[in-house]
Amino acid sequence: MNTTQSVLLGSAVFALAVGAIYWFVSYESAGTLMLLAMAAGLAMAAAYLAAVRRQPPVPADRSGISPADAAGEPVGVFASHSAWPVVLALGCAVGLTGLIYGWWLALLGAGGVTLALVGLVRDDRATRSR
Amino acid sequence: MSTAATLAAPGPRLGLLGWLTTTNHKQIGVLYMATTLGFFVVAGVMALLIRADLTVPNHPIVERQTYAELFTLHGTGMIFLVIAPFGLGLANYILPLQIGAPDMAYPRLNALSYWLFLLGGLVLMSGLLTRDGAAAAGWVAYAPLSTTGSPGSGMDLWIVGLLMVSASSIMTAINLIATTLLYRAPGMIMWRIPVFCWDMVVTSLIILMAFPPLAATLAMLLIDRRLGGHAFDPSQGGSAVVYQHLFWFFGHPEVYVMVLPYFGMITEIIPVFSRKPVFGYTAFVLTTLAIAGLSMTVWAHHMFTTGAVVNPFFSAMSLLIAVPTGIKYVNWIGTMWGGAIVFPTAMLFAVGFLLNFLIGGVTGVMIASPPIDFWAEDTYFIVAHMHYVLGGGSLFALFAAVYYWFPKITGVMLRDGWGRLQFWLMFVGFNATFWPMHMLGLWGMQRRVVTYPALPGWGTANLIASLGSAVLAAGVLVFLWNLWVSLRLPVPAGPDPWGGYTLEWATTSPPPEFNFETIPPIRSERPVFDLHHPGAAS
Repeated sequence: MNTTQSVLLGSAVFALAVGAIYWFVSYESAGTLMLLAMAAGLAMAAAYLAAVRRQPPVPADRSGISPADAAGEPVGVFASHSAWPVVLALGCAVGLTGLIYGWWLALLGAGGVTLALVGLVRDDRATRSR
Repeated sequence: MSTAATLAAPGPRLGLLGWLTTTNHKQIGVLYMATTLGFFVVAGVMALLIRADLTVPNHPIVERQTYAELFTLHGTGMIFLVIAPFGLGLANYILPLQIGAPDMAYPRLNALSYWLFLLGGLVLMSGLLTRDGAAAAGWVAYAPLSTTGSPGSGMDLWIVGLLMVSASSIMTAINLIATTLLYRAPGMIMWRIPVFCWDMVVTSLIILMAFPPLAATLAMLLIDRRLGGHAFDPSQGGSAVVYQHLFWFFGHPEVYVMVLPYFGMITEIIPVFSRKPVFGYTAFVLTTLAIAGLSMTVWAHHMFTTGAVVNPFFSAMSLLIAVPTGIKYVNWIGTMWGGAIVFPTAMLFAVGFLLNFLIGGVTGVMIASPPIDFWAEDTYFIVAHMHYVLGGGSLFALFAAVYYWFPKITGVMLRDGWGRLQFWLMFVGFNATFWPMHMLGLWGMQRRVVTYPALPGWGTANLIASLGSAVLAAGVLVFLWNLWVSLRLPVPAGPDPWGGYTLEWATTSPPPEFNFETIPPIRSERPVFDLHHPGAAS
C-alpha cells in the first residue's frame, strides 16, 4: 500500500470511527450522516487507487531514479491557452443570477454554458491530436 | 507531447487577451494573488469603516443596516476571497514548481476555477449596488435571518456568488491533488515533497470533504428563498438547527483551509532563514493529517449555546486539536534552535505569525471549553480570537510568503527596508487593534453592534483598537508602495536569492513556460540544497 492509499484509508477509518462514536453519544442524524459520507468518499478514493495499483509505478514513486533517467519520456499534454474557461464561468455567473432576476437570464446563461462546454471538448480534442 | 524541458527562457509578455485565455499555472497563480489583493483592499476598507464607527461610544457614523452589510461583506470577503484563495493561488504557482511538474494536471479546469472565483466574488459584492443593499446576515448567514429576515436581492447575490466560489475551490482542490499524485518529478516520492505541498494536498482533501456540504446548504438556502422551499423553516417542518450543522460542518474545516497552507508557507521559510533542515519533517506531515482529521469532527463547538448538541464530545475533540498544533510549534522552534538565523522581512513576518497565532490558539483552547464559551459567545472575545488566528496568523504568513516568493514570481526583489517598516507597523497596529477586544469581550461587549454605551473602559479600549487599525492600514499602504517601487525600479533577484532548498529555486526567476530546463537529482526534501552542498548531502 503506497503513501496516498494509506492516507486515504486511514482517514476513512478515522471518519468511520468518529461517526460511530458520534452517533452513540448524540443520536443526531445530520452530523452522523456527514461523517459517514466522508468515510465513504475517502474509502472510495482508496479503493480506486487499490484497483489500479497493478499498473507500473510512475517514476516519481521510485526513490532511486533521477529526473535525468527519465529524460525524453513524455510528461503529459498541457494546453497553453483557451478562451472557453472564461466563457464557461461567465455563463455560470449569468445563469445563476438568472435565478434571481428572471428565467430569461438563466436561459441566456445556460446557452453560454452549453457553448463553452462544446468548445472545451473540441479544444481538448484538438490539443491531444497535435 | 510536452516535456519538462520544453522551454528554457521565461514566457512571453501577455496582453489582455493572453491573460483572459491563459491556462498556464503561473499566470493563473498571479491572477489569483492579484485578485485576492484587490479583495483585501476592499474588505480592509470595510474594516476601517467598522472601526471608525466604533471609535467613540454612542456616536455611530453609519446606519445600522449599513453596518450589518459592512461586517457581513468584510467577513465573507476576507474569508472566502482573500485568506483561503490566496493559499490556493500561491499553490497554483509554487506547487508544480516544488514537485518538478511542468503545469497543473488540468490546465483548463484551473483557468475555469480562477474565473469562477473572480466572477463569484464580484457577484457576491455586487449586492452593494442593489436598491435594498448587500447581504447583512453575517458571514454565517444563519436561517431564518438569511431567509425571511433578508428579503432583498443582495442576499441572493451573496448566495450565488459563494456557490461559484465554492465550486471554484472544489475544482482547484481536485487539480492540486491530481497534480501532486501524477506529475511529481522522477524520484520525488511523497515523503520528499516539501511540507507546503503536503499541506496543500491535505487542505485539498479538507476542501473535498467540507465544501460540498456548503454548496448543498447554499443551494437549499436559495431554494428556500426563491423557489418556495422550507428546508430551514421550522414552521413548515424544516430546521434552523440543521442549517447550523450543515454550515459548520463546512465552516470549521474552512478555518483549517485558511490555516494549513500558511503553516506550510512558514515551514518553507523558517528553515531557509535558520540555515537548517526542517526539524521533524515526518512529524510535520503527520500532525497536518491529524489536524485535518480532527478539524472535521469539531463543527458543533460553534453551537455550544444552542443546547442542541453534545457539548462534551465537541469540547473534547476541539481540545485535542491543540496537541498536533503544539507539536508543530515544537517543530518550528526546533528548526530555529541553534540555527544561524537571519531576519529578512519574510522571516520577520514568519516569527510574527508564530507569536500572533499562539495567542489565537490559546484563546481557542479557552473557548473550546463550554463554560468559558457560554461567557464569551458572541462577544468581542470571539472577534479577537478569530482575528489572531486568521489575521495575526494567516495574514502575517501571507506577507511572509509574498516577500519570500515575490523574487521567484517576478524576477525582482521587494525592498527589505520598506518591508521591515511594514512589518513593525502591522505588528504594532494589529496587536493594538485586537488585543483590547479580549478585554472588551470579557467585559461583555457584544459583537455585530453598531454602537455601544459609555461603560467604564469601553471607550478607551475601542479608541485604542481604532487607532491601532489606522496603524495597521498604514502598514498595508507601505506594502503597496513597496510593490510599486520594486516593480518600477527593479532590483534583479536571480534564480535563488535566499539560498533556498526546494526545486523552485533551481529554475529561472520567473520560470519558463513549462518551468524547468533541467531538474536536479532528488534524494531528499531539499534537492537544491543537496545540489549546492553535495558533501552535506552525502
